[in-house]
Amino acid sequence: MKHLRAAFIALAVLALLPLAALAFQTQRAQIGITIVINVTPNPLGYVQQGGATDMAGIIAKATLHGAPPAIERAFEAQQLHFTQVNTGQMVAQVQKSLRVEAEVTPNPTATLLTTDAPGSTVIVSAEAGVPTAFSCVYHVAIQTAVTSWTLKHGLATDFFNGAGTSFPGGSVANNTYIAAPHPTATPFLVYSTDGGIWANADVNTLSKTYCVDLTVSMPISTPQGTFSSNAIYTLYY
Amino acid sequence: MKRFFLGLMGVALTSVAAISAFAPAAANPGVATTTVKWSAQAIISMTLTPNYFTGFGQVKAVFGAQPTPTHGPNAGPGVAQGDIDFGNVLSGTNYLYKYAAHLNVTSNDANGFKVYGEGGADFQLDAGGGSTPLSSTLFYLNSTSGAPADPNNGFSAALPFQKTAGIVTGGTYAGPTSINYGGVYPGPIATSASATGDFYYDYILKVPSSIVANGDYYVWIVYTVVGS
Repeated sequence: MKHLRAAFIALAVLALLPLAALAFQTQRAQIGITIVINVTPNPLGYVQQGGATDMAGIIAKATLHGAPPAIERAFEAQQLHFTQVNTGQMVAQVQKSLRVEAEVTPNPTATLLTTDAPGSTVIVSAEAGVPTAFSCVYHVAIQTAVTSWTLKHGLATDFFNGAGTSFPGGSVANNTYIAAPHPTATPFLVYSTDGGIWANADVNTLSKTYCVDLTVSMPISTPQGTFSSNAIYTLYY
Repeated sequence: MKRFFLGLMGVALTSVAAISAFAPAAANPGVATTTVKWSAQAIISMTLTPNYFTGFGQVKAVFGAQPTPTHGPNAGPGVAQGDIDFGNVLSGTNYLYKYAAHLNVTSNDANGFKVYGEGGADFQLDAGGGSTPLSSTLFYLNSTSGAPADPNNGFSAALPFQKTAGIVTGGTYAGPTSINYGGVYPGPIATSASATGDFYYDYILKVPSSIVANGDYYVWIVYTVVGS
């Protein structure tokens, strides 16, 4: 009986060793990939004007500035009259510059966790409210001899444009796989709004390369513009 | 004498008639419309302030507690002085530069204005012989005036600077640099619906892992403000 108990304890220790190893993993490398989304507005997402109650109060105007002749003729056919603007108009402009510099040193050890995204940036275009999938937008590669590691990922923030408008980072889903895509894509966790945690992308061993599909489905009310966020990949072992 | 008197009356009547013919029609009550057209000359003034708040400088991208900002020798030393000098950086790493640039714009254009920001070239070696694409190396993002404090880190969402398609004058390390757009502007990085405005920017430097040549890299970022 005593031997049996010792065997059970040994078995339990052996079974828990991998979990213990995962629990004590520390962060070894981290990279960021900027995802830039050029948003085309969806006409159905525009705010509708209220119905007119007094037709006499409505004044409609149409102007056409420097349009191609074909469009100008279309306006003429509809009895809309316009005046060609002076394309040589003067504009007020002021300009100043500043210098940005850095003393760069190559880092030969920064090769453990890498991406093939040019300049760590990917750019896609999508229409607001229309789910759009992009296959294998970028790869994330782990080059290591470590036999047990964990890759975590997520977005640092929601997607913002230069004017401070945003849409939720969860509007972008990823499908991260080695050989064949998973049945469904998973929305990104956003570190700054989802509790300051990263999601597990995979637990694996030795060198691996992952393909990342993106599915973009931002809200239909998202205005036209360029939005961006950073996808962060962190390697633990 | 009588003939002379009649002659004198004739001259007087003729004179009165002539004067009446050239006198304004004072008794006419009609009102004439005078239309005056003029064009106001649009005036735009911009102040570009680098390193605009205490605590400016480079911070390596980490989550959680942020390192104390540092900077290279050409930044500062005081607030509003020097270049945006990230100092020593490693390839394959992100760096935030806090309180990099403040644009203060004043104009008389009631329609507001647009702000354009582009690089005069790629991020290039001062000594020549190498460069890395600007649009995948240097990024900008909104910051604060300093109060409240800048909340960004090196992983915050940012948009890439583009290398201009305009005609560049200058562009050497000594600079300065200007861009002739010829009336064809790129997409603005900011717009204002009012005549005045303040814009505060941080920068993020993402040095590509693939960079092979070490040395001092630089680029001139040109800000242009145009009335709407």
